[in-house]
Amino acid sequence: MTSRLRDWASPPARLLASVALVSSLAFAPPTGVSLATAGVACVLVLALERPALRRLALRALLALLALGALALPIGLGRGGGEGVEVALRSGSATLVALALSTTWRAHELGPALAALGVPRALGEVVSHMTRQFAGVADEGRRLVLARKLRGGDGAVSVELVSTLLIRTALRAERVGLAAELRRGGYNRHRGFTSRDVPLLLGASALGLLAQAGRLP
Amino acid sequence: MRVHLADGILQSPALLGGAAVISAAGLALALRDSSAESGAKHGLAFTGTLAAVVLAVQALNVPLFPGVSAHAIGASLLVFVLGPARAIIALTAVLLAQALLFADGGLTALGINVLNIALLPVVCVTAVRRLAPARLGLQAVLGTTLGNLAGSLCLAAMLVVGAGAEPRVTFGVLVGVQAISGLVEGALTAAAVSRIARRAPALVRPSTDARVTPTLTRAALAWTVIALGVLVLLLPFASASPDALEVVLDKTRLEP
Repeated sequence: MTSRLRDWASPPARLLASVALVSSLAFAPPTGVSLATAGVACVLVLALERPALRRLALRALLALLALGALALPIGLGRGGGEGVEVALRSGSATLVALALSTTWRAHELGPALAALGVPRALGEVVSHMTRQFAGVADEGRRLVLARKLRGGDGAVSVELVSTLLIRTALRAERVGLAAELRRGGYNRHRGFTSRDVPLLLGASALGLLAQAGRLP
Repeated sequence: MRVHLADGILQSPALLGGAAVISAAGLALALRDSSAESGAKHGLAFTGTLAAVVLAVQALNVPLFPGVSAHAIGASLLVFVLGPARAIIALTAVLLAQALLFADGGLTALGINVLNIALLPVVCVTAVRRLAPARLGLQAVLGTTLGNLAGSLCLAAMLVVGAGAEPRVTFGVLVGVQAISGLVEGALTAAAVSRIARRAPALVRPSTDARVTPTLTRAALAWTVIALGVLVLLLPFASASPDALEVVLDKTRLEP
């Protein structure tokens, strides 16, 4: 068994575990147990996945700032205590979602959705989108570089975005033709395996634990 | 201020369930409508690749004033190039990827985010395209602004009703920010669309493609009735806070 979570759990299992755990935390009362559960889940996932922590911390900070902005009017409307409760509940769910997001390779998302029964067309669009994202970003960088070399400032402009869209559309036509010639989409996926059992059981157990605050 | 709603902010089953039903119905209609359009040029690969452009554009946050920023939705650009049905599918794919790959927007709030960021803006842009078929610039500016306003109004109403957020701050900030960013995005979209129409006219779909078929209208009506039914059934669980009538009764109660 390899050490990283993404290597031993299948994409649909990771998707299911994410949905179960994050949903449970999103609806759990923000008690010490649910917050501790979120902390344990984050530590476990990060210990198994070992992502770049500095980058993740920056993303977490931005996510928490955005949450604070949404919790503020709730605090103003219902009192500071309720605002803090909402921020704690939402913050714990978001941090766990962020930790779980590190377990994904972008191109696995479409097949995972397809394996869980999402309509084929939507799964295919997600697959094409995640696979072409890097290419689109590269094309954008090339356009900026070309403008700089011609003496421009290389700033993002309407001209640049419209050129990027036209070039991307041409690329999309080629990609579409290639997909048709292959007579199949990207979503030939592997389903659940027996190696997914620990992840699914662990996520279910943590999800149930997070709801312990509802007990009298 | 982000338009994406995170997990755990709203807990009302009525709002989460109702929005999920409406979004699922809208997506189902879009999938059915788009399946009628076949061909490599505007197939799923084309939709997915243009969705990648929107995913990249939505990653850029534009600061509006200190502490508040907004990001482009991209709905109008997709409606102009892909048509309404495929624009809804592309935006739903973008929201799914953002929720799962970047934890941006909640998994439990996905229905609300699809409604506010995909369905409402696409419907607004499509409606404006139908009303002013000859004016690309007007379609872009008005459609984008109306779409942003509709999405932010809907989100603000949900936060006030379902989470008890303070109405003046919520509506003022959310709708104000989105009105400004809608105007800016609309102007940029208008400029981009006119350039695309000049350089690659085949890419901009004619306004007549934004028509709604009678079958689609009947299906939309049926799903709206179902969604309203779900809302009515779940409304008693909408919020733990007293409703408006209870507040008024409480405030006007005569002391013995």
